[in-house]
Amino acid sequence: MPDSSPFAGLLAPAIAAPARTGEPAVREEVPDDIRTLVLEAKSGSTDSFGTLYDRYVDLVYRYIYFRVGSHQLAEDLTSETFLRALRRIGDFTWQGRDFGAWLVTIARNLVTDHFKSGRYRLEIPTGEIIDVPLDGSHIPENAVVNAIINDRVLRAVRDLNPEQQECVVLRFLHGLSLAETALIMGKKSGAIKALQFRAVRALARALKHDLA
Amino acid sequence: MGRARIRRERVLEHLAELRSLPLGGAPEPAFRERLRAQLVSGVLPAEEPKAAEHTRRHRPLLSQLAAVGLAAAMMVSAFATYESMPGDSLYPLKRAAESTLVRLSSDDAERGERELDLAKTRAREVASLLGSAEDGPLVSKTLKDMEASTRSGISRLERAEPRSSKIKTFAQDQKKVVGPMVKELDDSQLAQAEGYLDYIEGLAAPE
Repeated sequence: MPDSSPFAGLLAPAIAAPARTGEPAVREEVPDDIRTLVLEAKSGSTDSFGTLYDRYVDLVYRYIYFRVGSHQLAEDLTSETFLRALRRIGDFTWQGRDFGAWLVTIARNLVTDHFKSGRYRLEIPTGEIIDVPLDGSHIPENAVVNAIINDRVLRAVRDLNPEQQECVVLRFLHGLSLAETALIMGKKSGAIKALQFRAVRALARALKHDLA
Repeated sequence: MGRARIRRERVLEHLAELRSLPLGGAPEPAFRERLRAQLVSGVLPAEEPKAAEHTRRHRPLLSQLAAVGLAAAMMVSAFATYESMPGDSLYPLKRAAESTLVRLSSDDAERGERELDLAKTRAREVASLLGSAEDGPLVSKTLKDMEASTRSGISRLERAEPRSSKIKTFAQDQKKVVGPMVKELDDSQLAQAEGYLDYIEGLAAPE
């Protein structure tokens, strides 16, 4: 039976795109420069804390903004996240986590306190998540099609259950590792792996016609 | 390779593509600079005002409700204890509270007066218990306690205030309460009550 979906076959295998630039390199292997900066910040160096801030402010801000859907509130909670981090950096221990994951954990707690619910929701339009300009003569013809594809995938992500949604957003939008996602969500890495598998399976079902 | 697996792999490829694209929703440069300047200055505002505000806004309401509920429960249970009768589950608590109050008295005169008050309370309890066949043992026990409190209180009061008019007043009041009971008492209780009346009549007799 032929697929009547207007986007049938739209989600053909994606072409590998260049790595996102300007993003915090949040990986399980903590770079030496980050370790040094954290050590200095723990010793009271505000300049080092400032450098860490430069590196992670986008990650923290976006994590919050994607959940609260308001720039004003995202600014307030981002400020509170970094102020709390500065107050408590003396207590920070690596324990296998990246500094960014620690910051996101603080942000997550603040968002939860604000809404009195740990339920994860993407609170902004899918079109706002990916920042791809779609006007101007220099834009390739397939850019609009790609934007539609991304929108469909993100809509399907938004329809996942809260845990699966948070897992996919942390892993694939914010680029966090399994271990970091596990720490932020308070689960074991194996549980995140299983959660991710179920989320991908649910997405595959939801996008069945588009993937035909 | 199954179809489902192929679809999952395509989904993973598209998610990987999303990961490679620049994300929207970045902070405003002015905000970024402002917060950086605040953090680098090392001057921190008072401890987490938002969290404190949040606590003030929500938790006090809950704790106030809990406090009101607790106070109401305490008042109800205190009233129930005060009104309890021999045989009630709260009655031992009432007696323990009475004993504590007597022991806390500052001198013999005050302690004696409080014991006489207890004797009056026992008399009222006996009056309430009368008429119930099941309460026979409780009546006897309460009469016995009434007499014990009376003798102890009188003894203390006589020692502290030998010619106190309070003794005579007590005896007259108590006689008015205990006297009418005798018609409703059984033989053993009657013997107890008459012995008690004889004792307090001696206290009330003119000198």
